[in-house]
Amino acid sequence: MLKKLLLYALLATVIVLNTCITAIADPAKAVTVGIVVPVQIDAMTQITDAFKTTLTTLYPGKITYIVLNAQGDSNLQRSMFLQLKAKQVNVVVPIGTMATQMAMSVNQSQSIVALAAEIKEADRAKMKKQNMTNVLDEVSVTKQLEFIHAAMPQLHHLTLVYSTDDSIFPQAKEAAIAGKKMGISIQPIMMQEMPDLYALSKHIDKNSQAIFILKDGKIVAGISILIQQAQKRGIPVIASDDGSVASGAAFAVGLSETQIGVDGASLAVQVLNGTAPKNIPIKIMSNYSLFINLPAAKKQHLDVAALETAAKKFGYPVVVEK
Amino acid sequence: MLIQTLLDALQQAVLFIPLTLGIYLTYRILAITDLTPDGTFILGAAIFAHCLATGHSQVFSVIFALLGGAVAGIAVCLLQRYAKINSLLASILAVFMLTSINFGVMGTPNINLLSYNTYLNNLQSSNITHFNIFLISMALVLTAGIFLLINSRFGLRLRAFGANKTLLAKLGKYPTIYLAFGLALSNMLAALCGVFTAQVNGYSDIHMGMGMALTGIGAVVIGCKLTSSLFLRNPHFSLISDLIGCFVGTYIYFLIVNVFLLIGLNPIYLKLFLGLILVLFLASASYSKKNYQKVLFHD
Amino acid sequence: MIKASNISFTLPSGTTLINDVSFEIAAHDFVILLGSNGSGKSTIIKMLNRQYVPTSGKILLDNQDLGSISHQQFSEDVITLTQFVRDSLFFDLTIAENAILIEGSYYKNHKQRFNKKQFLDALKEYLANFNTKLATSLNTPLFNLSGGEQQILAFALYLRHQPKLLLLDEHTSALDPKMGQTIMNFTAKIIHEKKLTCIMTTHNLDHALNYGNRLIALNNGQIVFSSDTEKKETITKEILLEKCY
Repeated sequence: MLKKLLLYALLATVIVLNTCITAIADPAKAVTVGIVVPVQIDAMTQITDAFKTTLTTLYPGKITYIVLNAQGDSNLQRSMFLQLKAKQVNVVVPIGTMATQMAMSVNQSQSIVALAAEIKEADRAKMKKQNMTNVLDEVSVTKQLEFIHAAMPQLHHLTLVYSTDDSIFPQAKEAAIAGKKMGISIQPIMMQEMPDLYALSKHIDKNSQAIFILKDGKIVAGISILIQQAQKRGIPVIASDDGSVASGAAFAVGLSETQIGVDGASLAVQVLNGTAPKNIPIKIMSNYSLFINLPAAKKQHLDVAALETAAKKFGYPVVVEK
Repeated sequence: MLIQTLLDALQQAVLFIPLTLGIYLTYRILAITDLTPDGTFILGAAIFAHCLATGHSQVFSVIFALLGGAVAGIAVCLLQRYAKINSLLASILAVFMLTSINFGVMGTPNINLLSYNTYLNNLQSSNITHFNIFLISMALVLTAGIFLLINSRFGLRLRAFGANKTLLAKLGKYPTIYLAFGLALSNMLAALCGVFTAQVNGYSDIHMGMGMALTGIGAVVIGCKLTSSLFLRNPHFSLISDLIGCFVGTYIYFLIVNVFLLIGLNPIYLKLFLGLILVLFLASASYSKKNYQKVLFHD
Repeated sequence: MIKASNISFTLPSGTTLINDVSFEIAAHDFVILLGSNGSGKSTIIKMLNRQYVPTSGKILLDNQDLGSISHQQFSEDVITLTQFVRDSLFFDLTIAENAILIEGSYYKNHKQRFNKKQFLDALKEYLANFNTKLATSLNTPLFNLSGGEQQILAFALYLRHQPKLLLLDEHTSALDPKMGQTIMNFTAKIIHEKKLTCIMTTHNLDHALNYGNRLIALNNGQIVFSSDTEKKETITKEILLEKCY
């Protein structure tokens, strides 16, 4: 009888010990992360790739990634969030404002790490369920203009081409105000539909000294039209993201897409380690870089040396695109 | 997992039903192809979001959104009747112009509704069963409404408009009244669907309506064809079969979307796949009619 | 009852279809309108049912200008049946639905309450006088009926209440000769029974001679021959051929 009891006790100890040991050796369990990409564009791919690589190195356990691409279809996108909910993934990662709002509506319980959504601390505080945190990639147009003003002091007439997309609208307003303070008059050109861009580009003022575009997906997609127009007039195209510089804009002051992914991963790993998303402060990105396209800058009659001097003054690292 | 997918698709389908019923009214009853719901869907969401953001009550916001949809529908009717623009082109034009109007209404491309505590969003987060019951009963009430309308003498004249509007005029009626009514109601339903969707998704956005009308037409064509070939012996109009068809068609659409995701197919080809299915149904509908007419001739 | 004075009709392109035509038709007249293709007989019908508005001249119906009659009232007063049954009936709808649509406005105009069940019962009885098949298949869509049945149905439904004027525009020409004859006999019977005022166009000379009490022949937009009741008996085919073709 006693023997039997001892045997049981021994067995129990072994089991408990065993679980403890495995727990210590492998504290992180296997997890699943669902990423929803609203539209397939280069910037999204860069963000997603950087997010995955960084998170894989930061988190010790095994991570399964489910990357879903909604192709710009909101019905499809909703199905994706429903599916991620059904699969009970550990973290839902929507990219952009619309996707994030939908993710939050569908998922009341799952943790959400949003990337590049237009949601600030104050917005989150107003929400009922705060099961989310965010990497806010808002580029300060004022800061961009300050840099442009420093690098090109002779610039007084600037044309801003922008679309009707989510986050762009307030930025365009901000640009007009900030420009006025610096003595730069800004000609705003708003594009509603992609096919209009060519006709609109003809209306850039004759005395405009540069074309400025924001981090504006629709305009970026049609950037070659603006570059042609700029070369015809001998003025530069100033962009707000590295992708546009790679496609032929002279330079950009902005945040790198890669950094959005990296910062997002640092939030996601906190969530995976058990912190509630609402207790993780929304990450406001502030590390700007200067991206230069040397051949394009030359073609568009730009003083590259002045750009680099200004970058040094502002403390922005310089990235030269080939 | 499979049951969950079936339920998810059902939830999305009932949310979409108002729009399908609206499309049913124009496409099957009035026999015109009206794509305006692409724009009025957003208009509904836009007006709702704007009213809410400017501090109006939810009920008021919904009523205004519905009125907006109705006005847009009447405007399309005027385009068709007085500017003599054909229905398809008039609706494409309307969607084109609504892009500006929607933008003007919202003042910004996107309004976040998560912080406004909207009725459906609230329900969705507090009690999912009640949420589903609400959506299903809403869909049933609307369907019953459409059933009563089409079954009435007024509804018969709506159908007569679709069958032969010149003859309707000859009988001393004014066809424009029926066209205006049909388009107004159809676009009101689209706006209602937009309001629901905005509440459930947590935002109103000027890009949220793309392809909605075509999706609706697809659901109506596929659903009505399926139910009529299952339930009816001759290809005659049956309102009950058609309304069930609207449900079935909408459900099938969302089922396909969800199953595509479930089995992990690349959704790039989803639209192509759905489009081909629609082509198949449209073609089979016209072929079966032709065969039928041949039989008639031999008589 | 009908008085057309100096009516002309010219297309926007300048082609004149009817040139200064005047005629009068008394109540209970059954007038045959004869003429070759392009002679203008269909144009006259279309002016009488307001599809066309005369470019000059006046048409009076019961001393009232044709254009001044309300849309509703006119649809009750003047009934037009053509060879295209589709112009008169909804093919995609059932017999009952067609009947409701055609008669529905009558109830409203005469401030009567419409009771669907009563109406359909009465309809069944009424149609049985014309054709038993029609009476028993109220819920059959029209595309399931033969051409003759459709034409009979059109007569039955449109003539349930007495119109002031019945216009028949080659209404038998889409039917085979045998069915055409049946419908023509049927037409004559109804017109006689109901004492209708009727204008009928036709290409069938036998019909032109055997039916109606008056005959008007048109050529190149003008009246070339007109006969009243007594003279009509003496007309032969040869005269008609010579005058009209």
